[in-house]
Amino acid sequence: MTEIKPSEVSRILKKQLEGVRTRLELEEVGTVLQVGDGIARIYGLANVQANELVEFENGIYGIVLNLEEDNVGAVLLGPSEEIREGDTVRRTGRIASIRVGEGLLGRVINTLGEPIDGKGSVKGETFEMPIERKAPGVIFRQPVKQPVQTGIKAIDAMIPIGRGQRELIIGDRQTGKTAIAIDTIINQRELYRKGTPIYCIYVAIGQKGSTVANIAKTLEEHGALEYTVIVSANASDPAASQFYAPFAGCAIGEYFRDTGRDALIIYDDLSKQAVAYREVSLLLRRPPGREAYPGDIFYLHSRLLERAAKIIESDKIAAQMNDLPTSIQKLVKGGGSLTALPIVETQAGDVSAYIPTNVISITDGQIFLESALFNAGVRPAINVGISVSRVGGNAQIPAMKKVAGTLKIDQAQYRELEAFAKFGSDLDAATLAVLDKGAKNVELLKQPQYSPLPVEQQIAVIFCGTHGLLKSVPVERVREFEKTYLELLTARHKELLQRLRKGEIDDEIMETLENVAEGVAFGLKD
Amino acid sequence: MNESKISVRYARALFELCVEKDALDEVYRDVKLITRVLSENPDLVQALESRVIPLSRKEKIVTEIFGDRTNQATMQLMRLIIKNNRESYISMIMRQFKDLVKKERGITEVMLTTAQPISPDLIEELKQLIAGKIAGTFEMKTLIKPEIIGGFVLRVDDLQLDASVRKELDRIRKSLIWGFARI
Repeated sequence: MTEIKPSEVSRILKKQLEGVRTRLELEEVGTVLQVGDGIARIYGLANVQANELVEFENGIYGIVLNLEEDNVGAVLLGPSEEIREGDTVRRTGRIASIRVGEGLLGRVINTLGEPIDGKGSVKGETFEMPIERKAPGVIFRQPVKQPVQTGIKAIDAMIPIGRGQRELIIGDRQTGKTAIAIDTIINQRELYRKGTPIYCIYVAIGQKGSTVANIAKTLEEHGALEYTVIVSANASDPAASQFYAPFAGCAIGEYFRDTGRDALIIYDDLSKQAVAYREVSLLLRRPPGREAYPGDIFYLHSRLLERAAKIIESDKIAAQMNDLPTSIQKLVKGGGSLTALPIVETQAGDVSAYIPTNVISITDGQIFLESALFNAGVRPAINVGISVSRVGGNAQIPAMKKVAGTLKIDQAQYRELEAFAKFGSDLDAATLAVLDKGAKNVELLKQPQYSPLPVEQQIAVIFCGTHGLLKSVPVERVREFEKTYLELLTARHKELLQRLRKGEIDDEIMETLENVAEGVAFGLKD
Repeated sequence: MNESKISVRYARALFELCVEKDALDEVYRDVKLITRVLSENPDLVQALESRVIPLSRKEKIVTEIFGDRTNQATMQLMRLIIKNNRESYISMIMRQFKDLVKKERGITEVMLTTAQPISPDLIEELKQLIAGKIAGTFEMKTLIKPEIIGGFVLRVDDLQLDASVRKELDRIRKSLIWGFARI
């Protein structure tokens, strides 16, 4: 590495200093009346707009939320320790926004877009994207038709997610909600290597700093950090930062969506965002409603999730989208999408609580995770019976659609009869067959963490389950079967897997799969 | 419940009463006096806002302190505030009232902050300069704040011209960190 001369450093600094504007500006100001608990009440600022950014004397920013007759209520986006009564507050004239660019990929940032991973400032060109923005109108959208492959068999087969869909991941604590999200991100690695990536944004709301650090490390180890942006508003950050973090993440996602590319955003989790918003609203003296949440808690989530959409292919129509930020006007292309995977945590499985019901009614489907299944060893602990994807088959490649078509029904039948499994051999042959097939399918759908499967392997595996090729394999050895089966296929039938990947399936492929499966099953039968 | 309504209503009531009785300037002076006394005596504020001290005693305190120096309307307002238990809103009510009067009379409040005291000639010069730019009369106050290091900060009602050295250094610091002026 060549040495940097001291003269070069001071020359650069001198150039920077010379370039600094020294123009005086007349600013609109107000005085702090009251400050505390992350809120400041300000006197003056007669012309300030709602949701405008204001700056305090010590450089902390705030967002104006309450415009009252004799004062203005602003939430602070930083610590309130250095702000005193009587301090001057000035308008910035900017509605809260975040600077977005390609340089954000691979970085960990906070709600304001400032890097917090210690790797220096954000490189490259950045564009100003508003944090609050209206969702695209009906004309600028098109139906969801391409899949987002999560790499998780249970999801891609029975509850498939499409690009532009909103799919809720809901469950109690420690049931694997974040694990599903992380596996989905990791599975996009292949697309990234091919050059047609789905950019991922992971928004961590109110989580422990150590958890976010672990996630960043995990993603980096699996080569997934290069196409991911992590937006983090930790538990120690002010409540305003926490509830604005998903909007900041969404603004980043919209940058990709409106420039014709696909993006995936994960909100982990919206329950904590609701709690942060409740805290801010109560401190601003807004009237509390059910469970002390403010009256507009539904609107908080609905306007956030509506921004996840599949944009129409035509560049011309997309360029006329409503509320397009001026900064990216020239870069707009059609055909992009933003898929949202919000996460909501329930208490004791109560999905009829306020926030869960709200978000369920907004999203296009939900993935239910149950503690009972998790503890019984079924991981991912997805309850397929009550999990739904309203986009369904439209988001599956033809091969997967054909192979997994009967899987959901088979499992539904299995669950109905599951209670009778205790009667053992006292049942008739048909029932026993259903029970046997169902139990083995459950085994097939189990998957270790951080091991997303490419879609062609998923199709091959599920094919065995739905076509009854596991009849002679004992239940305990099904996972072993899967492993050996996949090893054989990847070693000896590469072209077949390629064809499956493209979505092709015909009798020839099915016969080959059957033969391989029979071979492996023979070796494993007792 | 929107608390701003409370202070606005009391201030407006006092304002209209003053206009009727033609005592606006006098009451304006009284209100400024009360605000100053309250800000310099936190004990008094605490006494007035206390839930334990009975109404009659609070009235007596206020009458004794302000009674003979203020207009009758001002005293009536204070007694009404105490009677309705709105003591915690006194400062906001006073502030709103001052605003109403300033708007009515076209008075502008000007605050000049400097790092060190400046000569009276310079202040006069500034006053002349400002008088040329503002309609109506203005009241100029000066404040010494060493933290601004040098230069001055001129505040006219809700507009501010920050020509302090501290602001310049801040701007330089921000542009070096961010590479572009982040406002």
